[in-house]
Amino acid sequence: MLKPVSRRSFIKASAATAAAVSLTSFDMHSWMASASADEKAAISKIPTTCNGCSSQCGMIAYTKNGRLWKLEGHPDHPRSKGTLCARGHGYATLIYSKERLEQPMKRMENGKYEPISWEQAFKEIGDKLKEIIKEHGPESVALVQDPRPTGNVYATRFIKALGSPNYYTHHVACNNSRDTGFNHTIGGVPSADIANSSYIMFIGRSYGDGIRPSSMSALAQAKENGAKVIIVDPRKNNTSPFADQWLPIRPGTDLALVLAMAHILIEKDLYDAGFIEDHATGFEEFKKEVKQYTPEWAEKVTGIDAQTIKTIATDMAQLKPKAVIEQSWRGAFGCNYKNSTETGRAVALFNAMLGNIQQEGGYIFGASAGLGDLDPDQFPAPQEPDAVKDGEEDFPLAPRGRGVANIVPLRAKEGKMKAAFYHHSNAALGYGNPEYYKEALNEMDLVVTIDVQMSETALLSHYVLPEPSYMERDDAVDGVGGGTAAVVLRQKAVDRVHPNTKPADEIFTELAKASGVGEYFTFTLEDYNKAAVEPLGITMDELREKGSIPLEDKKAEIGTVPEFNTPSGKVEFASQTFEDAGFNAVPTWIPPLVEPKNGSYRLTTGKQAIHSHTQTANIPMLMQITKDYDLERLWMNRQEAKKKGIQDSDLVEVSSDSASSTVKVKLTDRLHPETVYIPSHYGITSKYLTTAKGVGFSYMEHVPFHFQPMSGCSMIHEVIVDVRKVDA
Amino acid sequence: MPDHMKQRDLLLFYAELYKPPGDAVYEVISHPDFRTELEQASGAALNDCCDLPSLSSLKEEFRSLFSSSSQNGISLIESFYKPWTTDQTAALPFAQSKGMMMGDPAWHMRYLLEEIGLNSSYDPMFYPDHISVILELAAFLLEEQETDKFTLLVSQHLNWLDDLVEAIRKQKKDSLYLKLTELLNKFVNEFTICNQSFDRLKEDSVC
Repeated sequence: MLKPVSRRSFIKASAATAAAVSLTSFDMHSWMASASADEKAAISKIPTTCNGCSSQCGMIAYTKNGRLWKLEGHPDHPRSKGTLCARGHGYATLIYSKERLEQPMKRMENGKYEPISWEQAFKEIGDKLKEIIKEHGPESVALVQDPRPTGNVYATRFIKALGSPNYYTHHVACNNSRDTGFNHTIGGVPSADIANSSYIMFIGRSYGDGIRPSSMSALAQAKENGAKVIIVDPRKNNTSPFADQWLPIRPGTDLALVLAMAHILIEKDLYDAGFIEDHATGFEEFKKEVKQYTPEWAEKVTGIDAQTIKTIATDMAQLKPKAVIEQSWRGAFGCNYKNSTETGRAVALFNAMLGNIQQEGGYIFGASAGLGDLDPDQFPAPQEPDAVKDGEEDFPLAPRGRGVANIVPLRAKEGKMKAAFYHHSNAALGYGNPEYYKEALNEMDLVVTIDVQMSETALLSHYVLPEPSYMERDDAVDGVGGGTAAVVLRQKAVDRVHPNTKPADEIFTELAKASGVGEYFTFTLEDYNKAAVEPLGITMDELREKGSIPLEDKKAEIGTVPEFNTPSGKVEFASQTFEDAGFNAVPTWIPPLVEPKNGSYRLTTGKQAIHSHTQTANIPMLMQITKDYDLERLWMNRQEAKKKGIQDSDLVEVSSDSASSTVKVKLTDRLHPETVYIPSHYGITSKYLTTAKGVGFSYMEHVPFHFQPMSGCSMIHEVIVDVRKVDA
Repeated sequence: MPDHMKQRDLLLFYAELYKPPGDAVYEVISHPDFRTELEQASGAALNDCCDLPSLSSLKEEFRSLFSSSSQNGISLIESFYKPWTTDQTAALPFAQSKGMMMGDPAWHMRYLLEEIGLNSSYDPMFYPDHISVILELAAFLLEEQETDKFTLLVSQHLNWLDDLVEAIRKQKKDSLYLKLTELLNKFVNEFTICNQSFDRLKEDSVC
């Protein structure tokens, strides 16, 4: 009676016999000792790439009997150069995490998620998508991702095949403001040649917090060479051990500082006149504009004394072209303030005035790898959609390829956007106000998330499709630009722990078939990869063996100023494009959108070296570091705290017009008194992520859902909060 | 029926119990003689329990306790309860940590299944150290009357049921799964209390 009808009893396996295995091997302890001793025979070395952050450093994965055994940085990858950071080591734990997505899931009518088969998922999503497109047109569908190599190939092709122009990336909450400023001024975003620079200014960017190993080693080399390093940041960040001077600037006023430094170069005739003459337009208009931005004026705005501004500008001019304001990522002006795009323009133009572009120790436009693509005769590519990407008319200056991702929830609330795919993206917690996102995504007819864990965005989705982790799958070949370009490959290092997951290339291919556009997905990932490396004279076998190959014939040309990718082909101190979009042709002082007063504070945020966005928060060993050192605390200026009777580690309430949060406080002298600072990795609310849930709070809960006028960015520092002791 | 075959059936019943419930397993637990036969086969007494839930309630209870689609789902994977590896040559910072998949137990189980020739017999969607796979292998060893191997397997791969019982108790004190897992634990403890190892078996094959 006890024996039920077994669905998979081993008893039925007639050929099997326990006699095939010795008693010794049945003893796990004996077997482990024996298997471990066989170390050399069993260890494999697989070159691949990390996914702990957007740098995607090269790394070598050592595996033993199919399991991960050791990690180290890839020596030939331009971003790791032999070193892997703590995130890289810690994030690899994801492979073996219990809290990964294991199978496709569908949200049922009762709001709970139930496992479904891939076949059911593809069919239902495809049918719904066809229905939406038929009724509302392809413009009612969007795809959003934090780009990775396979997504760059497959996700972009998928949305285009559907006939929709609405492809967006996470940059709306990262560096789109900076890029908008740089793109229309010097035609792109170069990289600072830190290692060879003699004078380096960082504005909000902290190599010690948003770590990339190659950047850290370049900075160390610069210091060894005697370079002077200035940190401009309301917070004395973790790059400060390398710094000669910390300028605790009033948050949101970096633009005033740079305009005043430009004023000094012009007033004292210290700029590179030859470079301006040969490679720039609109300089006279710029000169007229910055005449009013004196150091004395800037002192009142920024809180940095006028003499310091004069000294730094003069010193940088004397060391030009080996002096540079580092280009930053999100830093202080990636997406933070109403004036961030103007700050981006001013920073680019100040560097141009130093004549440092394509000069050693200055700004370098790197070489690109020049990957190949699929042969369109063999694998027909979808047509470019006729419609304009939603958001382009509202924000014509924003980077076109990336778009303004927060248009999607806005249009959803307006009833215009009906379906959205989120791939490798936790937009609902990271791109804009989470409450707004929740309301908006609940308005949509179809939301699909493709990810490795049950993120806040996944929890707002009708369907959740699981990918294997980055260590368990092959990805598309990628090119890394730089001084010497490289071609790199992320490849499977270990067997899939969860066999019912599928990589993005398979998911998008099947989704395309189910949506009626399968004719654009007749190629395999290997077909693409072969096409990608073909122009480089490299075979996939070589790339698989090496993982990262520097392209010695693809080097940045130092010393020769390029033609700039702007309408004039020159550095545009005055931009007709800006004027046509309704803004000033030359960079102009714009105050921040909001100002703290009467004991309130600007809420600012930034990275920590052990986490990346919110994707690493559920990694136990990384979160343990957070807990060991109370890294989730709110930073508050010690004197300000004293005024409010707040002591170190007190529980405080942080309240804004949008939300209220409680968190422990860290009192410090390393912070401007007008701001409080919260690390950006916490505030996970997904109940599926038990390690991360309940630790700290998300700054984004306090950020109103709004758009920076020029770039469409989230303006994540334009929020004022009150802070009070909880039991006060 | 010989005792070892009764125990085999007991283990096969439990192997089904830890899979999403269907008609077959429900038919067994709703039989009037279920409790008696269970206690006879296990040699232990079932703690007093709740009323028998309906099949749909049982399905919901299983989902809320064990499904990965459930928040705070309890793991039925052995590796999760043990250090990931005891191999000191592993250079990963998490190597000695608990709470992860594909640890030493999974690796050993996969080896055993492959060597015995059972690797193609279990659903690839199951993990090699899922409790149902371990129980089915244990039942297979009883069927083959490989007593020493059975003892080693049970004592080394099911010695984490205390933690499983505790995890279920934390979530639902009046769960049928709790009472049944407690009974399985009592049965298994008869083999694990000796902390069996191969060396020990060589010295004294009967505990």
